[in-house]
Amino acid sequence: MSEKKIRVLIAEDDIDLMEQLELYLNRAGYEVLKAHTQKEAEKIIAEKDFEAAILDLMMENPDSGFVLSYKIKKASPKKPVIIITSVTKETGFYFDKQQDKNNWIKADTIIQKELRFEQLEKELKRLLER
Amino acid sequence: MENGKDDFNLKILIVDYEPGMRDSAARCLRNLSFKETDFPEKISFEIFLAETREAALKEIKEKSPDIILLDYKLSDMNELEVLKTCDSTRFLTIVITPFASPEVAITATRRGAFDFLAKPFSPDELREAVKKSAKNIFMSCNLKQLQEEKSRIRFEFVSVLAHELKSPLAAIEGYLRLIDERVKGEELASYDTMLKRSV
Repeated sequence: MSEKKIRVLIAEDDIDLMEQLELYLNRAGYEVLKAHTQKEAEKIIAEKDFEAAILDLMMENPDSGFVLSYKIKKASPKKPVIIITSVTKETGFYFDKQQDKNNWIKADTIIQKELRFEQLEKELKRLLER
Repeated sequence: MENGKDDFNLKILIVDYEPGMRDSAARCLRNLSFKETDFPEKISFEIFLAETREAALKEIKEKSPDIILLDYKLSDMNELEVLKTCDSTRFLTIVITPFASPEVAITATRRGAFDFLAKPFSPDELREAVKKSAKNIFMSCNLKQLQEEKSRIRFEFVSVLAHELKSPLAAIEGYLRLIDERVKGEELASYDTMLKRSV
């Protein structure tokens, strides 16, 4: 157990999903930094160290995830950022990195809810190994 | 049917060979308006006249009246053809005739007449017949609105229900999957929080 655990920031306002992501990622060997609001996440981004981030798109603001990913990428462009969202189901808007030619969205991946934990972890691993 | 500025406006087409009859019927109905319970607007009428069968058909096509007063004479059996050649479900017809007999009434009804008025009739009788038709139109209108509202409410209910159920079900599904994978090992007590959040 000498190896240092990879720290992942999770910003998610749904406490059940947060709990589940934490459990799943803990078991997969990650350490989780939890933020239940955009504000909490901004504090963590400013003060703490982490290697990757999983961000809910809609928290107290409809674009919380975008704002947070912008802040993370501005400081460290290579840090993997995944946005998870149900925005398509809620509003009909669809965001896709493949179609984002101008790279407005700073995140590396957008995953639609209800997500599979394995899928999320696989994506996280892929981005970390880049 | 048209919603006027203030009134619920119904169009009446009067079909009669005799100018005197047309005019007196028109005079009798022009200023007619009444209120119906459960209906916010006053019901009033717009009058159109037609002298011949051809003119009547033209008016039906152009003005799409709601009620037709149709003069029917035995000398001209073709009169009721108006009912046959049009889509008589789009308007109500009141047949007016001086030859009130069961046969005429039956023929008229079979061809889609809504009501029957025997000549001579008083202005009040005419107004009552028109009111009866107007009420019928108003009620089928109401029914249509209620049916539309019903399907709209049902749709909204289902969408809200689906939305409200989605998140809790996703949460429970997530916990069950984690329990299934024994994320916390074999100790049952370590799953207490997950179970409590789910039930």
